[in-house]
Order: sequence, then structure tokens, then C-alpha cells
Amino acid sequence: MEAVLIGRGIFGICLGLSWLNSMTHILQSQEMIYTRGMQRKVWAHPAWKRLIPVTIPFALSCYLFSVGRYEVQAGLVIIGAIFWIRRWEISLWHKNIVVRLGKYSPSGTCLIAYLAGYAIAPHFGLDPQSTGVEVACGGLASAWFLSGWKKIEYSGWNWMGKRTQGLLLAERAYIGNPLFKAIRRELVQHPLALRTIGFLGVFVEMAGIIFCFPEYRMAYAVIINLLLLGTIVLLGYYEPEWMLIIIALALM
Amino acid sequence: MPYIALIAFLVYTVACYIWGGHFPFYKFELYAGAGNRDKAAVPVFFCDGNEAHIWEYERFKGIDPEQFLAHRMPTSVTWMVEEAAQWVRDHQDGTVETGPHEVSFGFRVLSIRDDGTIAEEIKILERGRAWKLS
Repeated sequence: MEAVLIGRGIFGICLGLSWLNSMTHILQSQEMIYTRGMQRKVWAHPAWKRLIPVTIPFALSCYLFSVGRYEVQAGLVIIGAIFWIRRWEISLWHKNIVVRLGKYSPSGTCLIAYLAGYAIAPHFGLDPQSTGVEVACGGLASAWFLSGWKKIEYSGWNWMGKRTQGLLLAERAYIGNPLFKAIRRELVQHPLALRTIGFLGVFVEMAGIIFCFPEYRMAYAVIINLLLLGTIVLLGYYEPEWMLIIIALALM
Repeated sequence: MPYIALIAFLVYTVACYIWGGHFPFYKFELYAGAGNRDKAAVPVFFCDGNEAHIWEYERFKGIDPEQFLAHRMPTSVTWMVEEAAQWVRDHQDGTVETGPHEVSFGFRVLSIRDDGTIAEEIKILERGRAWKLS
């Protein structure tokens, strides 16, 4: 029972991270946030006038959902708010960049899946909460599977080859943290390491279906977190929401 | 109840193929197409012949941000190119004055030699003038 409570708490934090992510991109839409990172001049931004009044009920709803009170109502408020802030965020960037660059809201997606499961469960004589968790796990499992499958669909098995991995690392040998840049530049010279990285990345992602099975969920969640730690070093992508949401669902 | 999760897995997978790109369904493409490259590219910006940060300049003239991605360079860091284009778009010079700095935007085109070292070649796409950000 404690694990479930912790899991729900982490789920709430993930929803907060999703909100914070969009909020940051709204407040920094005039800056080069992806390339340059966060800039400090955000406090005078006029967007605060709209953000604060919505952030307060959003945060309250996340809390209520986490403690399991009014979870359907709280969940609907959260989804509505995430939908609203994403539309706003997308509108501030040129030609649908936010969508084209593949900016996801994994916890928002899992919440929708959870509520769908919660809603249909009584019609089949099932427990709403555990059914909601199962549907959310299936959705997240699919997300990981698709991340791997799309690489094979678009690039074939070439994706796992030393050339593809080497070029991805070579590009990132010019970007970001100096230590990580040095690691990437060094790895480019080791074909076996490149093939191993390519194979493991796709294999772990495509194994997402494992997350459908409760007994393997935590193990898969740990492996995904290791993969995402590797992604930080090798590709420079920080994905705390993806790291935490899978732990949250594994605990629930 | 793994069968419920498995059904959700199938439904979400199919839904992403149909409605991918509309929240809560995604395309999961990201850099999935990057496997068909023999070269890679990262954007690069020069001011008066020296490599510089594009965000330190404004009032661009003669540089067309719509061309940054039009050349279809083999880059998987599209977000950097999109951001650079957005920056130039937001900081165009509408006056008759011409900036004191000669600036250019292009790509560092990369390939990997047989010994694993990175070979690079600079390809300039756009040239213009700009002012240092005050």
C-alpha cells in the first residue's frame, strides 16, 4: 500500500514537471532555451498574469490526484490544464516546432490512459484504480516500444550500426558539457562500443511490452532509467519526467 | 491483469499511427530517420570570420532564416537550427542602417574517417550583416 502511495506521489510530481516544462518554454519563448539553456530574465514576463491563476488550481489538483481524493475531477482539471498550456506553448513557436521536435507529455498521456481505464472498469466489474494503472502501463509500454520501432521503420537495421551511432555522437561532440563532449568524441573511435550502444538502445526501447507485465515492471523501469542516464551523457537530453513516470507506474 | 495492459498497448500503438502528433498521441519519430546518413551536420555561426554565438547578435540583414533548414543538411540537431532561425526571425533589422559586423550561418558537416576520428568541413549557407546585442 505504501508503494502505491509513493507511486501516486511521484505521478503527481511528474504532472508538475510536465506543467513546469511547458511553463518554462512559454516564459523563455524569446530565448534560445534548447541551445542556450534557461535564462534568468523571466520574472517580468507578462505571461505570469495568466500562468499564476491556472497554476494554483493545477497544483491543487495534482495534490488531490496524488492522495486519491476526487481523482476523476482532479484528473480532468489536470488534463484540461495540460492541453491548454500545450496549445499556448505551441502557438508561441514558429510553424509547429514544438510538435515537430517531438515534445511529449508522458505523464499527461498516462493520466488520460488512467482515467480511461478508471471510467470503463465498472462496466466490466473491475476495480477502477487498478484498471486505470493497467491501462496507463499499457500506454507507456507502447510509447517505449514505438520509440524503438520507429527507428527500425525509418532507418532499418542501419540504426544500430557504428556509422549511425558515430554520426549522432559526432554531432554532439560539439554541443554541451565539456566532459560529455570528450566522452562522445572518444566513443566515436570505438566501433564495438558504438554497435553496443545502438543495439542496446533499440532493444531496450522495443522491449517496452515487458512493462505490460506487473512482475517485470520495476526491473524494466530501472533499465529505462539507466538508458536515460546514458542518453544524458551521449546525446545530452534530460528527461526527468520520462525517468520518474515509469517508476511511479511500476510502484502503483 | 496483464491482458488489460496488453490491450491498452495495442490500442495506443494503433492510435499513435492514426492520430500521432495530436496530444496525447505522438509520432515518436524524433531522430528515427538519422540512420540513413553518411554525413552529419551541426549549425555554426560566424561573426567577422570568427565562430560566435548567434544570440549575441541582433538586427540581422541579408540572412534569410527560412533557408536554414531548406538546404536539407543531414543534421539530427534540428532543434538548434530551428532556434537559430527563430532568433534571426525575431531580430531582423527593419532600418536602412547596415550592421557593422559581417555574419554568416552554415553547417559544420561531419563524417567519420576509417580510424574513427571526425572529419569536418564548413559549409556557409547565408551571409549578411548584424549588430552586437546591446
